[in-house]
Amino acid sequence: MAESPIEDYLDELTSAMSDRPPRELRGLLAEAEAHLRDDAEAAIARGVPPSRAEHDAVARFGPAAPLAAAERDRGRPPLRRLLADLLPTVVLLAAVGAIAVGVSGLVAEVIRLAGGSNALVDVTPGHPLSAADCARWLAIRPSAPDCRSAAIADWADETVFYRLAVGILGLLLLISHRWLRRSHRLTPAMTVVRDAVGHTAFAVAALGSLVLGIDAAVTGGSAGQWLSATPVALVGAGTFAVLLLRDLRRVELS
Amino acid sequence: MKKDVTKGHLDLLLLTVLDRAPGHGYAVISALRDHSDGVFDLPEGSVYPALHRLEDLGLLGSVWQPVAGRRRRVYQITEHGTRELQRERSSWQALVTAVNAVMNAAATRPAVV
Repeated sequence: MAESPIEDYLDELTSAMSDRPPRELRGLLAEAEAHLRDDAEAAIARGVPPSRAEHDAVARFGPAAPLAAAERDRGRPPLRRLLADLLPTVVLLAAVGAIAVGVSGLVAEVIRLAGGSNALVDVTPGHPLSAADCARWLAIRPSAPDCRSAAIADWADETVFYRLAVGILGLLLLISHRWLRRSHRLTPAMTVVRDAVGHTAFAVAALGSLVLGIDAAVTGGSAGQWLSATPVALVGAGTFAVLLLRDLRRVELS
Repeated sequence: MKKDVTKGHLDLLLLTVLDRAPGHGYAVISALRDHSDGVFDLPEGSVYPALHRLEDLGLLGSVWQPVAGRRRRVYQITEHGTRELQRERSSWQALVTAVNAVMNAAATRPAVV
């Protein structure tokens, strides 16, 4: 076989890139070969002898080891890029989580309208209610028959109000995220991480709230404050699961 | 020296070339060398990791096409890449203006003692 500097170089590049995924290796080899042969053919057209043309093309292309190292480094995101990816990811997850809390506040309100404040929260039997607190609750709810009822009504109010307030905060975060997203695009890997974290967090929340709700129902307490979160968390977990599957399919295709 | 000339500016140069028309690696490097009268005569292979990185960042897209009897990866600037190029161009113009201002001032004023 005749000596070919281009073939030798491609062999060298193959060895230097042997730890890379096969498709990436084949792609780079195809690009390198097309480049080297274009360059050599251009030189031959100018009257350079073929062997010399190939040798010069390889020399201009540069050594294989630094090229392989640069390709390898490309897969390692620098800290700045990682942070730039993390910020919109954290903001989006916080926004979606907060909005979910807000929606659970709406569900809690529906439970309260249907079953009364008792269906939402309860005062544990034996829980001490101070005279000062009782006076405050009864002042807010003068129609309440006793301190315990006034306390439950107040706690139910707070449960709904604070959740709705967190939901509004989530909407503001979502607006911030839209602005962040306009100036930065996430890497496919970070999208997978984001959707995996979102799915896991919502799945844990769904399971946790369901267990606590069942426990409250079994022990005679009010399950509403927990079970109002379960359907919302389930929807969140399902949505992130669909997104995660889509991300993984995209990564696989690319 | 020649490699240092492009250091830190290679992304801007590659995006500028591909903003004019899509092209494969060899065409991009030829354009860089020709338009710079040979000043940007860097190791040609070093351009490929840069092109791949820009693609990872979503600034370029690529498709494999048969061109002149060979299978080639043809790169094209994306919408995101066009916006990034506009930002980079503005930064570059601001830098050039500032450097020129300093150099012109230094050439016309007496040395500080």
